Amino acid sequence: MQGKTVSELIGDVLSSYLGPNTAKTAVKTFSKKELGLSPEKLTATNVPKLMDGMRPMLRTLLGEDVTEVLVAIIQREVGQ
Amino acid sequence: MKLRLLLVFPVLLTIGYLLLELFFGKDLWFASSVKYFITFGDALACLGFTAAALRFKAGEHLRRAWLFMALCMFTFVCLRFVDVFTFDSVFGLSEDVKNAIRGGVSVLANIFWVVGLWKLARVMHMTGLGFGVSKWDQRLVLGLGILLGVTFGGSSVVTGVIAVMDGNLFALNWLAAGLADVMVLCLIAPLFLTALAMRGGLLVWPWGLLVACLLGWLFVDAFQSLGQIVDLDPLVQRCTMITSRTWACAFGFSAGMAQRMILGRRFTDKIK
Repeated sequence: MQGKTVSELIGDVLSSYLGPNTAKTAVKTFSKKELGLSPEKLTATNVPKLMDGMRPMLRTLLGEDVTEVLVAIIQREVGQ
Repeated sequence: MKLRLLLVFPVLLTIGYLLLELFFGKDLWFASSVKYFITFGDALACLGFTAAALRFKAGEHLRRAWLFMALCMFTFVCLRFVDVFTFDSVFGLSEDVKNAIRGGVSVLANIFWVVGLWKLARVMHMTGLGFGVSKWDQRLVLGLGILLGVTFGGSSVVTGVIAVMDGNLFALNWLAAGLADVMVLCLIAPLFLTALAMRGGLLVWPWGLLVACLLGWLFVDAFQSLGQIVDLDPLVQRCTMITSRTWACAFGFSAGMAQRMILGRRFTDKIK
């Protein structure tokens, strides 16, 4: 996964469940809503807050258990 | 169990029923066994929906949605068991009372079904993600859903209202089913858009299979409406309706099982 931006790393993990289009939309929507940033400007330090914002959305679609697994994978991938 | 099997199973079950109809459709024993096949289908769908619901924790939105769907099918299963085993043999109820009970229970089941689907249809709105298609495409698909709902469910509503006004209590059954059909067929559109939004991801499986299930119910209504317009042979009408029903119930089972499977450890471990 080297050479990828933070938003691409998050998108890759989410796309396994949500598909690439919705995963991309999710990263874009929540980085704007939670951080006021465009996805390209996301850094590893933004990820915990972004994940807090994404949790309710992921819980609705996937339930708590899978949400926590995905959040843990994302945090590991971006080095948090 | 592989996800692809969940796609193949309903098709095979439907073909199996169709073959039974073709070979034994005219036999008396088969005609009297159809009700058991219907009950089997309802029980199968109930099992799938329950399995999906139990994968979520108490209070989670999709747990409630799948539970309402399961409750609907469970109500139908109970009604058929009561119908088959007790109405005629134990209680000796009059036909009017039996019809009122059937109508009332059917209303309840249809309420469960509509609430469950409504909750599923609202998921993308709740997540704040939208369907990922243009507003015009959304309107087009939603409009098509409403058109299908009114076309295929509308006639049952009109027939039901007229019959209830004439004092036929069993018509409550048709009326509830008709109203539910209109609403459910309208809800195909958001569910289809949700499945479309999830393409390429694991979630496309439960949502896509659920759309296939609803298409089965759409065909049930379509053949029912067609039977009211054209003088269809009763055997042909039974064959088309029960085949569509088998398709719908089997795909309902598959949708629920797919939802359960993709949230299981086998899939989350793969992502890790």
